[in-house]
Amino acid sequence: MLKKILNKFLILHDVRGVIVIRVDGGIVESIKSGMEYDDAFMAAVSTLMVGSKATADTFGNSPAFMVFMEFPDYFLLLAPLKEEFFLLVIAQNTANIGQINQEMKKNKEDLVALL
Amino acid sequence: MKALPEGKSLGWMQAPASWITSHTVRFIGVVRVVIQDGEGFILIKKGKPLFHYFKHGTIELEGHTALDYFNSHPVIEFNLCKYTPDEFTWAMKLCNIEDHDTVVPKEPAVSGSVARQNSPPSRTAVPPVVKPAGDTRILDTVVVSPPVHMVDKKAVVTGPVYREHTPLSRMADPPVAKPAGDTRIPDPVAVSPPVHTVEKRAVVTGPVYREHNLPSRTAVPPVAKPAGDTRIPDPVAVSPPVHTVDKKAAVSGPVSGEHNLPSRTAVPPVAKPAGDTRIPDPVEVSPPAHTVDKRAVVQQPVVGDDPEVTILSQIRDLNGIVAIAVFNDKRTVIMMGDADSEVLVKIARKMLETAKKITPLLTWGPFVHMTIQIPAGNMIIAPYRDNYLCLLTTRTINIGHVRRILRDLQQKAHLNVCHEPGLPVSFR
Repeated sequence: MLKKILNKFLILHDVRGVIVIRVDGGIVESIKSGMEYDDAFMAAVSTLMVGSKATADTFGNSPAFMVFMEFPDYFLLLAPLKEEFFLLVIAQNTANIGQINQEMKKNKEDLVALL
Repeated sequence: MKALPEGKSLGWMQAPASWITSHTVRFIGVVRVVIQDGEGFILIKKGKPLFHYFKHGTIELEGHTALDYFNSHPVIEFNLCKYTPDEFTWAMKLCNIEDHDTVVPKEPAVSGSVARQNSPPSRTAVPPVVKPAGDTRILDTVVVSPPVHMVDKKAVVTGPVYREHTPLSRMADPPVAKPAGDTRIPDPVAVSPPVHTVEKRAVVTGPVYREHNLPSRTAVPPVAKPAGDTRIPDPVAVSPPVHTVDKKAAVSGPVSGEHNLPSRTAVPPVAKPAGDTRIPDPVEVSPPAHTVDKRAVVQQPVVGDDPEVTILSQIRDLNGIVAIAVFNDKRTVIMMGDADSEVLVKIARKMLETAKKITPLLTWGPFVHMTIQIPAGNMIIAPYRDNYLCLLTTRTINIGHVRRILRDLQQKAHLNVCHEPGLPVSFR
């Protein structure tokens, strides 16, 4: 069921991967298209989660935040689902961020319900 | 001093005083300075400071004294306010400055190497006020010999534009009348002629090193003062400053800018009446050691040229932008907007730290930008030339909007690079 929801993201134009991930770096569910989730990639994702949390904490009590990190060809979009769970979307720069965001809004409740 | 025209504010910034003259070559207006509880200004015409003024309580500093006071602070807070020609003329009148250079020459429309020398404004000699014999309260006339300018062109080649930022040579300033019994004002200053040299060397494809050698100031025999008067500070004599713009190899690569700040050897601190606590003590700044080693240099910002300040202030003025800052690992280069610069840059540095940790783990190349959305708004960092740009926005701005702004900024910066080939964009 979780995979079915993640697939809704993957079928969006130029989205390469979607992961539901724990704050400790453990993958709950993932789906990908033309990319590998190797150790270095997972280490980068963990660093992003920890670093972003630390940055958000500097603002005070801001539980909900979204992180967007762009590289020359790809970007990472990390959004909180509930407490220790995050949704990570990996896409090419040509992907439509608005569409991804909209899909997140539409499916957030369903995703949270499954965790 | 009457209030100067308001002008169009381009935003508040924090930078060393020397930054102002070296980054306002296309700016005409006033730079309003705030230091602690005092306020002042520098009237600037295309990088040439025409008048320095600072007031703290009832104490007023003008000219070099005010400039020295500004320079005695490592960083000052200031607001660049652009003037229209009419406003500028009015400001000049208020400051009693005559400028014969009424027609502002247009920039040479050449796509090549140009050695530009900003001559100091010609200031006609104003007959000094006759002072009563034996009256030591009034300053003697400042004697200034005419500056010597030398332009040594060795080769004209395609390459960047080199500018020389020449500080104002104050020709025969009228002495400032001071009230009877006021011994707080220092005795006259004898200034020898400055020598300006622009030396142009061959341009090759390689990195650009910018060197701004500002006047070195050495001790000169003091002017006599009344015996036993300890309230009058020892007079300052300034030896001829030598201005040199030395052109070195230029490359199509990152820019490393070197700015040599004035070496202030054996110059007493800004004159201040004994026991007068109204003016804050100047901060002793030891001359920074600069090297021309690329990347290892803690350099002065290259981002603050007038068009860029304008671009940044235009971005700041966009709906939803709360604050904008340019920073690096060591300090805040430019700060505009309504936010605590310390806190903002602290958070930005934390984000940068995260970005720097992640980038080598991924094989996707250098990071282009990073945004953190929190309920309060968006915090964005992106590489900007040799520094980093930080934006704080409201929640009304989405990531797509942020990416557009950054792309526009990149394009504008790229256009500037086309005009100044030595300044490549480094959105890496």
